[in-house]
Amino acid sequence: MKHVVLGLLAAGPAHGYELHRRYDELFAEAGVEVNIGQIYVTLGRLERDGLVSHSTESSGPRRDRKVYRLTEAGAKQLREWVTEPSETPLVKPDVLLRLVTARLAAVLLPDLDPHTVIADHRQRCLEALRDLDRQAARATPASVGGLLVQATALHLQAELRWLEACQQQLTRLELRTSWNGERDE
Amino acid sequence: MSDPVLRATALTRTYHDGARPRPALRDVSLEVARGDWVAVTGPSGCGKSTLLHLLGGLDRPDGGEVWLAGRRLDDRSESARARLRRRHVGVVFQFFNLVPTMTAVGNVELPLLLAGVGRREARRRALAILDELGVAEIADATPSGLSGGQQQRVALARAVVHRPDVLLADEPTGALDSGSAEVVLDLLRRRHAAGQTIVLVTHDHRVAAAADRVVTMLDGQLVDERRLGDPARRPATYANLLGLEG
Repeated sequence: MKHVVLGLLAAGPAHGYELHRRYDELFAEAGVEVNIGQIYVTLGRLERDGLVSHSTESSGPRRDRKVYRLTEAGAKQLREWVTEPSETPLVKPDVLLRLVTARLAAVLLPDLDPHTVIADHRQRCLEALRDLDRQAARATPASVGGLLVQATALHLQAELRWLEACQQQLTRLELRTSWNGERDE
Repeated sequence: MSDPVLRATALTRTYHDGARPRPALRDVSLEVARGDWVAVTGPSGCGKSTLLHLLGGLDRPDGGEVWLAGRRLDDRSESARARLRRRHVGVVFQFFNLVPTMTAVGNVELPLLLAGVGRREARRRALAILDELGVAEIADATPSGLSGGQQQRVALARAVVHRPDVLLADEPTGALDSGSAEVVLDLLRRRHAAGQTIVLVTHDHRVAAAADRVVTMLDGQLVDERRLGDPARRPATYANLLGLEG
């Protein structure tokens, strides 16, 4: 949240309400709701840390408003954050752990079928993809929401391709373990 | 429940094109209800195209039966299968297979002319379906002057112009860029919404995700079959993806 508010202020000084409006315009379609209270809490923290400052503006009959702007430290912090390396998407081994476990338990729990583990997961991925395609049809092209839909859809497709590879290799997957090796000898 | 429009039982098919016989299908059974959309997926070489060819009577199984619209298909001669196919099936291929010397509308009206529809009526219906698929403006172009996406839309028009019981498609988006693939997928969705039974083979998971049922093949066998519903849980919300909470 902190860097988003800094980013929104980078577009020019603004009061809290205006920041909330800018935020909605960019992110509301992506389904990320933020209330005005969160914006003010974040501004308070940023000011405490010297990253933003405010001046009071009186505008006619309305009560005075605080207009926030980035400080030099705030701009520096924003630059640092943007140029920091982003997280690379590393695969969560969740389904792989279940697969290996199903293989390990083949004797103890013979009804656990690794192929079913794969097929269940494939179904969930396909259904998620189906759901995303419907959302994509509603999303504005080249919007934050549209780009997020694309990112998720491509990741799901990658997972589905990988599941195919799993399925092909599963029967050949040897669990080479010391205890198996000793038993074989 | 009504009889399935397409039924295959215990299909086997072995190719004898190399030094050793190569089993392409082993004991595959599949029933397709009217109005259903079935996607067959699996790695290349798993036998999915072979299955589609058998379902459409483009090839004959070594064992098993194929029933199409209540008639047995597999034990007929090639010309008898072609007649049944012309009446009940439309086929879309990965590489369009349009007749290069004919215009788009000429390609589309071909199945109607072969079925004995008069020239004027055939032309009228061909133009109507091209219009429906959004390619009316290229009716007089020949395939060589068309993009892949346009050719596939013409091929789809040709496949459905005679209102077949079943539309078969073999990797219909496999040779298209993502934009054209999107258009073709959307047209398939609309035909299906209008009641078209579809069986397609694809390794494009977005296409598979659009179907009602997904059948998975591996090494010539059908290893899994699922009916897709709505996800029990929405995929990760965008808020999580953006890491914006708190």
